[in-house]
Amino acid sequence: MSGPTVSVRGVARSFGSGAGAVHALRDVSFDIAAGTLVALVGRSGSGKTTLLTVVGGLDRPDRGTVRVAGADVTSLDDDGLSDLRRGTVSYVFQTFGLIPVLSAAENVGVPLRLARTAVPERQRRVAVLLDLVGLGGHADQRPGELSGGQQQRVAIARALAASPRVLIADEPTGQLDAETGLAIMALLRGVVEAEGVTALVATHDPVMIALADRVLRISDGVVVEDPTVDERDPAPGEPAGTC
Amino acid sequence: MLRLVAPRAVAHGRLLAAVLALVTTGVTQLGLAALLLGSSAQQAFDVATARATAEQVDTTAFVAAVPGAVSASVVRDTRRVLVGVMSPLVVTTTASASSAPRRFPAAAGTGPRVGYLGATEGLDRRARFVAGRAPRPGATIPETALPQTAATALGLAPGRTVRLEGEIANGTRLPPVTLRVVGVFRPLAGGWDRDLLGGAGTATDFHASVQLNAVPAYGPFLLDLADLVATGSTLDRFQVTAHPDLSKPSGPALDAVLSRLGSANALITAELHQRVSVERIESPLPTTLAVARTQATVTRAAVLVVVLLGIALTATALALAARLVAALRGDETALLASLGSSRPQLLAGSAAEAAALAAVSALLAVPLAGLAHAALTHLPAVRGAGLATGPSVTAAAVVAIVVGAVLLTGLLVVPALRPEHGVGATTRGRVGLLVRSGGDVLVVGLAAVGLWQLRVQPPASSGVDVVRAVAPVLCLVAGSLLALRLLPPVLAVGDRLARRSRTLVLPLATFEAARRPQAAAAALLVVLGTAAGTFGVALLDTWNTSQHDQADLRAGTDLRLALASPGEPGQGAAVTAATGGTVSPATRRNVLVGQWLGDAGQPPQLVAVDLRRADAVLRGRLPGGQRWGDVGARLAPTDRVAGLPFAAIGTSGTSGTGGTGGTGPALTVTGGVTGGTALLAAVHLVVQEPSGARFTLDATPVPLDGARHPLQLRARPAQATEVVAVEIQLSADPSGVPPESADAGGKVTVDIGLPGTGTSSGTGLGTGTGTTGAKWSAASVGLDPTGLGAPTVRLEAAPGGTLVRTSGVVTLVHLYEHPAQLLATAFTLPETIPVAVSRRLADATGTRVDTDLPLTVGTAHLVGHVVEVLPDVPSVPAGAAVLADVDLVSRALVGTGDLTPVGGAWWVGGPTVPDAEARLRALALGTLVSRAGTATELTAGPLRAVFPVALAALVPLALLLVLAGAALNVTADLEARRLELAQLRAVGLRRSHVRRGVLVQHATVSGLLVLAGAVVGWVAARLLGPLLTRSESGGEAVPDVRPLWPWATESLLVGAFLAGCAVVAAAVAARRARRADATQLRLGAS
Repeated sequence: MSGPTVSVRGVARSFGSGAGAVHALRDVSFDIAAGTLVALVGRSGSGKTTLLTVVGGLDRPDRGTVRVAGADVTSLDDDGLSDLRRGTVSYVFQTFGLIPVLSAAENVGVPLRLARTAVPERQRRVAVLLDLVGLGGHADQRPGELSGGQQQRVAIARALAASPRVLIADEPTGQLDAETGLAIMALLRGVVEAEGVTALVATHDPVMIALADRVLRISDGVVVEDPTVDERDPAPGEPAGTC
Repeated sequence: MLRLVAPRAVAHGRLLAAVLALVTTGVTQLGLAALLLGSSAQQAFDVATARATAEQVDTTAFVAAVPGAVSASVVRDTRRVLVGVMSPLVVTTTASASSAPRRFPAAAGTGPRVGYLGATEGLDRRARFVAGRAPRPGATIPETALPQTAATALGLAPGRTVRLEGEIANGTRLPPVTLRVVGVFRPLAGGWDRDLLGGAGTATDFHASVQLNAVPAYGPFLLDLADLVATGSTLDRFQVTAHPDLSKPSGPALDAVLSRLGSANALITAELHQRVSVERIESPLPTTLAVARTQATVTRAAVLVVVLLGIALTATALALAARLVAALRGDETALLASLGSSRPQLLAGSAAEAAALAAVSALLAVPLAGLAHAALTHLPAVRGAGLATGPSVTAAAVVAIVVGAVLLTGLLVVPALRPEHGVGATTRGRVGLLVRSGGDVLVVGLAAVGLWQLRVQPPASSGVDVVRAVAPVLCLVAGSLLALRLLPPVLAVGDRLARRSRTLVLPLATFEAARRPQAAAAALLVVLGTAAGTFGVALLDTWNTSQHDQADLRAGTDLRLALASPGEPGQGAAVTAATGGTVSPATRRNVLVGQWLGDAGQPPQLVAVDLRRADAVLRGRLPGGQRWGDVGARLAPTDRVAGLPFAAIGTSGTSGTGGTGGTGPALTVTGGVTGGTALLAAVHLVVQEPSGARFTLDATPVPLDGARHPLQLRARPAQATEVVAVEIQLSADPSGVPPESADAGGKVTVDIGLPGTGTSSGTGLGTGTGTTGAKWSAASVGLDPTGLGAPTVRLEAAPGGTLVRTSGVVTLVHLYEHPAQLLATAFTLPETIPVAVSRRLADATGTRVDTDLPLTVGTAHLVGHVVEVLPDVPSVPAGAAVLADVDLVSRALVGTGDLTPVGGAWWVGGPTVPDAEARLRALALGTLVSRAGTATELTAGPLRAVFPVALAALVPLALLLVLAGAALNVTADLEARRLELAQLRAVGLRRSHVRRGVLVQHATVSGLLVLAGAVVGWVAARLLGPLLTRSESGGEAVPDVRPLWPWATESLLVGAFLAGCAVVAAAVAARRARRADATQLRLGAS
C-alpha cells in the first residue's frame, strides 16, 4: 500500500503574540489515505479553516510539517505552493470563489488556462465537467445569474478541472439550504468515488459527516478525538486506529 | 449618527486625507483664480497704463490762426483748459507754436525767401544742439535757435543776428523783428510733424501764400514762447500737449478724465472760439485705455478657460473620491440603516463630515492660494511684466475659497442622496443609465452651441466673456464623454480575442477590463485630464506662434525705423553701422487707389522696400510655404541703376564753388537759350548712395547766360554717391523781357559739370570713371510736359568728372506761367511698376492679378501692374496695402517730375550687432518698431503674461489629478476584489501573475483612456485653438491662426500620462498582491 496522501505532523499555528496570541493549531498530527472523504468537524473558531489553509499551502505553520501527495508543503516557496495548488490541490470555498465577470464555463476553464491547455481540449473538458455537475445548459451564464447551489457546483467543477489529487472544501454547503447542501455533498461523495480524489471537507453538516469515510474533530486547535474510529470499519488499506 | 463621524473619519483617515487634498487643491485653484482675475488683472492694467508711451497717452490741444493781439491770452487759456480736462491726473505740459511766414530782407543775388518764427518748450528733448544753446527769454534782442540745415543755408551761426520783415499773409503790418542766433540744432525724433517744414529746416518750393509763387523757406527760428508772443506774431499753429503721469493711476481718476475728454472739444470751443478760428483737443488716451481694457478682457477670458478646466478636473476627481468613499462605507451604511438610521440622519452624518472637510480645506487654501499666487507672479515671464507681488489674499479670494469649499465638498454628500449608494459601481439601474445618457446628450448639445457661439460671436470688450470661458470647457467635457462611449466597443474586441487564447493572466485582465463596468468618474477623469493637458500644450504652442506671427506681420521687418524728419544722406551708413543687418530704404505712406480712399481712418498704404533682398528684410508668414524672396523676384527690377560717380564734400576738386580753370569741372552749370529771353535754371540732382536710398540735392537757380556758374547745392553728401538723375527746371527770369510772339521758341542748352571719379561701390552702382557709355535718357516732365520738346542728354568725360549736356526746345512765353522740367535719368522711365496687393485691397476694389492699378502717391500718378494678391502686406496687417520695390517706385515718381525722396523709413533685417535695437534707438532718427519687442509685448506684456503661465500650470495639475484619480480607482477596484484575488491565488495563480493581471487590466484601460484623451485634446486644439487665439484687440488674429500640435512635447506628455498610470497601477497591484493570502480567505469565509 502507498503512503497516506496527506500527512500532517506536529503542526502549530498562532496569530498575534504575547498574552493576546491566538493558538489556532496546537501540535496537530494526522494522516489521510488516498481516495477517502474526511470530514473536519469543529465549532466556529476551532481552527478548521486554518488547518485547511495549512494543508492546502495557503498558509504556513509555525511548526511542523505537511506532506501532500509526497510533496513537503512546508518547505515550498510561494511559487512552489502556487504550483501545488495548480495541479495537486484544489479548493472549494464556502463563498464559492467564482470570478464574477467570467461565465460558468470560463470559471471552470481557469485551471485549464493556467495549465495552458489547448483551446479545443479545454472546451471539451469544461463541457464534460459541467455535465458532471449537472450544469451543461448553464455554461454561458455568469455567477450572478446562478443560484447558490449552481454556483457551488461550478466551483466544484473548477476544482476538478485540474485533476487534483486532493480536494479541500471549506464549508461548501455553509451558504446553501439543506436540500441543495445534500445534493452538493452527494456530488462530492460521487467525485471522490469516481475520480479517486482525496477530499478533506470542513463542515457542520451532519449529512456530510454521515457521508464521510473519516471524521476529524478539532477543538481549540487540537484534533482531540475521532469518534467515528470506533464506530466505523476502517477504510480499505487503512490500518486500524489511524486518525 | 453624528457621534460616529469622528471615529469613522479616523478609521478612514488615509482616504479622507486624499479627499481633503483634492478639495484643498480645488479651492486653492479658486482662490488663485480670484487673485489672478482680480488683483493681478488690475495690477496688469495699471502696469500697462504706466508703461504706455507718450504717443499713446499725450493729449494735445490744437489751435490755429491766433492773431497776435490775443496770442498771450489764448496761450494761457488753452493750457488752463487742457489741464482742467486732464484733472485729477497730474500732468506736465509742453507747448509749441509756429508763426505766420515773414519775408527775409531783399538781398542781391537771391530771390524772395521766407522764414518763420516758432517756440518749442522742452526743446532739449526734441533737438540736439550742434552749436550753442537754447534761447532764453527776456533778452534785449530776442534769442533764437534754428535747425542746422537752415543755419547752413543762411550762413548763420551763434552770435550772428538775423532780421525778418513783416508777415506775408493775413494783411497785418507787423514791424520787422531782429533775432540773435544763440544755438543751432538738429531735430530729433517726434514732435516736428506739425512744424511748417516738418523739421527739415529748409524747403525750396514753399507756398507762403496762395497769391505768391513757391519760394525757398527757412525755419523755424525758435524763440522762448513768451518772446514769441511778445513779437505780436500771428500764430499759424499753436498746440499744448499734456503728459499725464500714469504711474499710479486710479480707476476713478481715469474714468473722470475719459468723461471730460468726451466733451473736451466743446469745452475748448466755448473758451476760445471768439478769438481763434480752429480749436480742438485730440487724445489717444481713450483708445489706449479701451485697447488695454479689451486686452485685459481677452486675457481674463483665456485665463478663465484654464481655471474652469482645472476646476472641472478637480470636481471630477472629487466625484470619483466621493463614490469610492460611499462604496467603502456601503456595508456600514446598510448596517446603520438596518439598525434604524433614517436617510436624513445618514445625510446629516455625511454633511457634517463634508462641512469639516470644507472648513479645513478652506483654512488651508487661503494661505496656499496666496503663496501660489506669489510664486506664479515671480516666474520670470510674469515678473518681467511687472506683475510680481508678495503673498496676499483679497476678500474676493476668500469668498471664492469658502464658496468653492462648500460646493466641492457638497459632491461628497451626493452619493448619500442615492438610495443604492452603498452598492459598488458594478450595478447601475436603468434609470441611472438613462440619466447618464441624457446628461451626455445635454453636455454635447451645450458644447455644440458654445462652439457655434465662439465662431460667430465677437469677444466681449469688457467684463467677463462667459461664452469664451465656458464653451471650451464644455467642448472638452463633451469630447471626453463621447470618447468614453467608444471605449466599450474597443474592449469588446479585446474580449473576443481573449476568449480564443489558451493562457489566463492577460485574457483574465482583458475580461476584467471589458466586462467590469468602469467607474465613470475615474474614466472621465483620465480622459478629461489627458485632453486638458494635451490641449493646454497645443494651445500654448499655437498661441505663442500666433503672437510671433502677428508681431512679424505688424513689424514687417526686424527693425522698422520711421524717420521723424526727411532722410539725409549718410543715414543708411549710420543705420548699417548701428545694426549690422540688411538695411533697406523704405516708405510706408498713404496712397490713393483709383478713386478709393480706403475705410474710415484707414487709407490704403504703399509699402516700398528693396525687394531684391526681400528674404533678408521682410517678415510675415506667407501661405503655402512661399518665401518673400519668391514674391520679391516677381516685383523687383531686373536691372540696377548705375549712375555717375559723385564726389563727397572735401574731395579734391569738389569745392563746389565752381572751377574757374583750376582742377577741371567742379560743380558747375553753363547754359544758354536762343531767342533772347532770359531764363533761369534750377538744377536738382538725384543722388543714390550705397544703401540704395536716393536724395534730392537742390541748387540755387542760375541764369542761362552762357557763363559758367557754380552749382551751389544746399547740401552735399558726406560720402561718395552716384548721380542717377538730373532735373533742370527752366523758368523765365522775372527781370527779363518777355518775347513778343506767343509762339516764340528757343533752344535751351544746359551743361552740368559733376566731379567724381572712381569705380563702382560694388553694389551695382556706377559703371566707372567718367562713363560716357552709360545709358541716359531725357524727357520732359512736370505739370505741363508740352512746354519743352526734343529733350536730349549726352554725357562727356571730363578731367575729374563728367559733363552732362542737355538740351531742349521751349515755348518761351509758357515759361512765364509754368516752368518746364527737363529730366535726364540713368534709367528708363517705367510705364508701370509690378506690385502686389493685399487681400483686403483686392476685395474692396475688385482688383485681380494681371490688371493695372492706378495709384496716386502724393500728387504723382503711377500705374501699378498687379502680379500677386497677398493675404497681407508686411507692416499692414489686415489692411489695404500695395507692396512694391522702392527702386521702381522712385524711378516712377522721378519720371513724373516728383523728386521727393521715396524714403521716410529704414527697414533692417537680420541685425547682427548686439543691442542693435538700442543702438538704433540711440541715433534718435525716428520711431522704432522692433519685431522682437512687439513679440515680447504680445507674449509677455503685462496684459498677456499671465495667460501662458496659467496654461502651462494646467499641465502638471492635470497630470497630478489623473494620477491621483488612477491611484484611487485602482485601489478601490482591488479593495473590492480582495477576496477574489485571494481566491485566484488559491486556484494556483502566483503573486506575479496577480500583479501582472492587475497591471495589464488597469494599464490597458487607462492606456486606452489616455489615448482617447489625447485624441480629444487634438480635436479640441484644432477647433478651439484658432477661436481662443485672438489679437490683442480681441479680434481675429492676422495672419490667421495655425492650430499646432507639437508632436515631441505631446508625445512626452502622453507618455508621462501612460507611464504614470502604469506605475500607479503597478505599485497598487504589488501591494495588493502581497495581501492576497490566507488572511483574506479567512476574513472572507468567516
